[in-house]
Amino acid sequence: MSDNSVTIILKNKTYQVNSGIPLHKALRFLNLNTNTHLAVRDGMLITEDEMLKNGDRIELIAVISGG
Amino acid sequence: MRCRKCGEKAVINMRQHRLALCKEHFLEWLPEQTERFIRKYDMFSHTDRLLVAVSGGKDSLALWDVLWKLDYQADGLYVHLGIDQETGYSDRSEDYARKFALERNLKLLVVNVQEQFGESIPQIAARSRRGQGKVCSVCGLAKRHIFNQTAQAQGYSALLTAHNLDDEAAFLLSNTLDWSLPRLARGFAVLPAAPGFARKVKPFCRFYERETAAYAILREIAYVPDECPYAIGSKQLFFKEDLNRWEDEMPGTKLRFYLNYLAALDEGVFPERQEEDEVLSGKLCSRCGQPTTAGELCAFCRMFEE
Repeated sequence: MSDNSVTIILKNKTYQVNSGIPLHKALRFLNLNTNTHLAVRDGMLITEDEMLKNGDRIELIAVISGG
Repeated sequence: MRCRKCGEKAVINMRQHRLALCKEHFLEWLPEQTERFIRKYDMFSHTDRLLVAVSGGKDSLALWDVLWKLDYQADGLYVHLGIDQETGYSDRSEDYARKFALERNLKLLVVNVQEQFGESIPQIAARSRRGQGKVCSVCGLAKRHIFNQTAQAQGYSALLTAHNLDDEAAFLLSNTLDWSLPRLARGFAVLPAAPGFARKVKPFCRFYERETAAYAILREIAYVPDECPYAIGSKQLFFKEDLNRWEDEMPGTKLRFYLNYLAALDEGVFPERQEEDEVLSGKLCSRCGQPTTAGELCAFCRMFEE
């Protein structure tokens, strides 16, 4: 992992994005929607404007279900 | 982003309401809003005995938790469908529902489809004409049948489901594309009891799905995290994804769609008829006694004759 990297985990898949950007930009980069995913950092939900820092580990939770 | 009520760090931003809240105030806000909707739509009272349809997922357990916090008399009903017997999807879902009930000392009724009817939902779907390639159609019919039968047989005042605004908006979009006016007329948050049918209520109908999920997470409710394997690729998910793309560009789109629909219902835009076709027929199934549109057997019992 590079120094300015953020780890994003969704359904057992791991993605790396650069730090220093807000969560919503990272999700857009991964082609994900803030309306359909919640983000947890250090055990707490964070809002989409939260800046991602070096070494952050973000767990995404898909919230849309069907059937 | 800061909580509008106290200035602490926000955990959720609800752009459609221009409202960001911290954990403490969000966990107050959601039950307060639920209570407001219960009263606004005259859903039920504290003297009613309620039956909550519980799947082991985030929405239904969150609803049961809110009702418990608000001191309503709500029992749960879990229907074991026999889904994905290799990974035990239904078994695991039942475990989550049982654990939730046990922790709060709540009563959970369980109906096991395989034990009660001799076949699981995928088995019925594989064999019956209705089920060919459409497990969800068989599942939906079976759940509606069992929910209704249980609520009536056990004398509950109302059957509650945890449909949220994303569910309702997807339903509206699907039926608008089909111009299905009779179905659109039945989308209100309360369907009154009718001969053979329990009263049906959706207390979460005005919450976005991310809000009910956030509530479950913040309350540390353990729920089955994975999607039903048969729902993957469903039409409902497709509509939800599209609606949320619009929501991303135009916050409040889903809420306006649903609230303007409710206003249209009030204005009589849709046909007044809200009863199911089975009620209008006045016929009862000779096997289970539930209403049916035609013939001796209802649609559920007919699946076992094919």
